[in-house]
Amino acid sequence: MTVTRDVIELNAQGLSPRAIRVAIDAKFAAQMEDATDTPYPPA
Amino acid sequence: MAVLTNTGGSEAERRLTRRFALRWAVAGAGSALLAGCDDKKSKSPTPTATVAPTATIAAAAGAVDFSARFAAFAPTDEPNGDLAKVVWPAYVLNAGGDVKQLYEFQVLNGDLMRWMPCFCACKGDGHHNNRDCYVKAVNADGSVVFDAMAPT
Repeated sequence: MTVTRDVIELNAQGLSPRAIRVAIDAKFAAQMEDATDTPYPPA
Repeated sequence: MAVLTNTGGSEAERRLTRRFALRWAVAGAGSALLAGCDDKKSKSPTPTATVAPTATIAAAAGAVDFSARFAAFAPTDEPNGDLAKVVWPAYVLNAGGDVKQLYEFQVLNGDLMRWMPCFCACKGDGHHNNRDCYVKAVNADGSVVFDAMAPT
């Protein structure tokens, strides 16, 4: 649920989907092995 | 820094000049010391940070690019639902806090959340993105079949 909250916040700030994804992955980098196989949005 | 030169004059005048110069130097040094101790923090309130922690972390991390790691995968279709058609399950209504708002966002933003991962190890359950922990399916009429994994 933390991911959703962060996405809501960053989306409200006007970040692009890709920028949001970069920020999310940076924050959860330590858990990357558990990440779903979700592709990056187009640049 | 002023340089004293013996420009002549009486001994008393020279002592006066040296005394003045010494006092001036001490006063100047003292002012400099006090200015350095003039902690702006003590005079003005600390500004409240408004930058989102996530964004800040991303900046600090140098924006590490994990895109290549996920390049082989295709995004799943995540149509948006219709909140007017949603029948909220008890586990959402009873969860309290902002849980319902999170579910609402997921219902209305499938086109965004299809690009966001989940890190709860739900990959083993067949989930492909963060939304899968909230929404199982969206019917043609906009009604939604929910997943209970998100609040757990």
